[in-house]
Amino acid sequence: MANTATGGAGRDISHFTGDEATAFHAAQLMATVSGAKKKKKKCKKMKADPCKEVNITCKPTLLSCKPVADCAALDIDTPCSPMQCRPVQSVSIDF
Amino acid sequence: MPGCALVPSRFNVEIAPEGQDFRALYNTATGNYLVLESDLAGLYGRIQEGEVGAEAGGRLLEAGFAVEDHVDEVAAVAQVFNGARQSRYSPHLTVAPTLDCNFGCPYCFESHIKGVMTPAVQERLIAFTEWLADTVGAGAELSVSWFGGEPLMGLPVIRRLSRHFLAMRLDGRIDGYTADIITNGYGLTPKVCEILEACEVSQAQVTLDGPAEIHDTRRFLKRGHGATFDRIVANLHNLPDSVRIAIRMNVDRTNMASAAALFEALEAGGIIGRVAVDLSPVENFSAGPAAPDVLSPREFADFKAKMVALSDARGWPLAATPPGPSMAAVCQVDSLNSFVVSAKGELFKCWAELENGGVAVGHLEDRESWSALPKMPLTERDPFDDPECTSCALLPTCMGSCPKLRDLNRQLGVKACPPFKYDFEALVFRRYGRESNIKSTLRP
Repeated sequence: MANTATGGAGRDISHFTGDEATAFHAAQLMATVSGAKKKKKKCKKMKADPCKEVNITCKPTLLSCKPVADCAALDIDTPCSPMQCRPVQSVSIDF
Repeated sequence: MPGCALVPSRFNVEIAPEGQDFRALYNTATGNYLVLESDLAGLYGRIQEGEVGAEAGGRLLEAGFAVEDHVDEVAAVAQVFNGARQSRYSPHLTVAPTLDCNFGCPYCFESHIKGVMTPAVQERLIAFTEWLADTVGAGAELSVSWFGGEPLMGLPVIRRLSRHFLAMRLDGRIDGYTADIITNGYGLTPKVCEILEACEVSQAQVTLDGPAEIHDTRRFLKRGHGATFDRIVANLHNLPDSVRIAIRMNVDRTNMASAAALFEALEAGGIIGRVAVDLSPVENFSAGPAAPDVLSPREFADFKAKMVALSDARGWPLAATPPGPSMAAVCQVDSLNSFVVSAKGELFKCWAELENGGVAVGHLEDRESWSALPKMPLTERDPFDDPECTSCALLPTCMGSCPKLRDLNRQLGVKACPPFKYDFEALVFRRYGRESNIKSTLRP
């Protein structure tokens, strides 16, 4: 069976050294962060059943922390609030 | 095995609700959730035994539940964190148009100061915001949180600055603009709500610390200790539908027993269908030991678990989503283009530093300070400097949790994990249930 775990350079990850494999894995994780950011915008427009999708955490501020933490990788915004710093992402909530 | 061997991701959390014939995996680095049907359970078992090569990893490898054995996952998360921390993403500003407040809440960490942001400081803030947007380039989006003090006591400042920010979007200097406000709600009259709508404020966070008889003992007017609950709840009806309402209840030992009564009061006030309620522990943001009324993280987690069960049974809108991956930033402390701006023009990295003995990282008056941030414990924090954290499966989601609290706790010789650590599996199962949810793949 062909190995599907190939990176952008076209090399099979199993041929990477440890550091290269880790860097490749980090790049893949970073891509998930970007993807989550895009998805978050869609969530903000949802209005039905607000609680289901709500997560209040520190924003890169406080409401989830009172969140806007940037909740960069989240499909949820977490706001940080002054009392909790959880983020809000900075303070924002996804509905 | 022709390829390298696979091992389970160290960031897998197994979800196996007690008394149920059900098993799933949640990965804290990807946010992926995978129900282990029998074939996947068998494959995962063989991966745990080191018997599977990358060529046979299938869905478990694609979705990050298994990784090649020479991948250092902690180092990879560190690379994501350090890379993001040096990047200039879209700016987020928490702006305090005033540090004055009409409330006298005994637990507030701020020292209130009369006066509002002057026009001169506002001009500098506008220039600073344009500079921030320019550092991002095309596609920059600006988000603003109006904070205080009580921000509505500086409403003219909010109006003027909002006009400028909206003009930036009109001119194409930014691609998007969003705003929210954290207010005590006492001043949300119909006219004020109209203004906030015009300022494109899309979310309001209002604190209610219990039903009237409890709230009014904790969040009262400075003048005469007047009651505030009834007026706040009535005011919430003035907010247009375009504004989401988040009710925050700051919880400690003295009011935890009245959380259910708050929901009942919101029902009686006819507003419960418009709001989402967040229960948040009162935290110790001072340099001294916590007050005895402050709940420990585990105590708060136990309390919240009970409230989640009660809210689910009663249909109450309690926010109880588990936190997702936070590798790029836990909060604005980790974000190069995010700042807290005081009414005096000081730039901070954390809300809890406003008028609370915090050290400014810059000032609007000093353009050089905009780009040359001093090295400070918060900006130089290292989520990977504690072996207990780097060995924890929740690391990519927690990342050391609140940087300010972590720093303060270290000064006190205390270590405290966030409450969600203690009921994480239950929160994940509540959110995803029996359906897999794969948000992203790592090995497409």
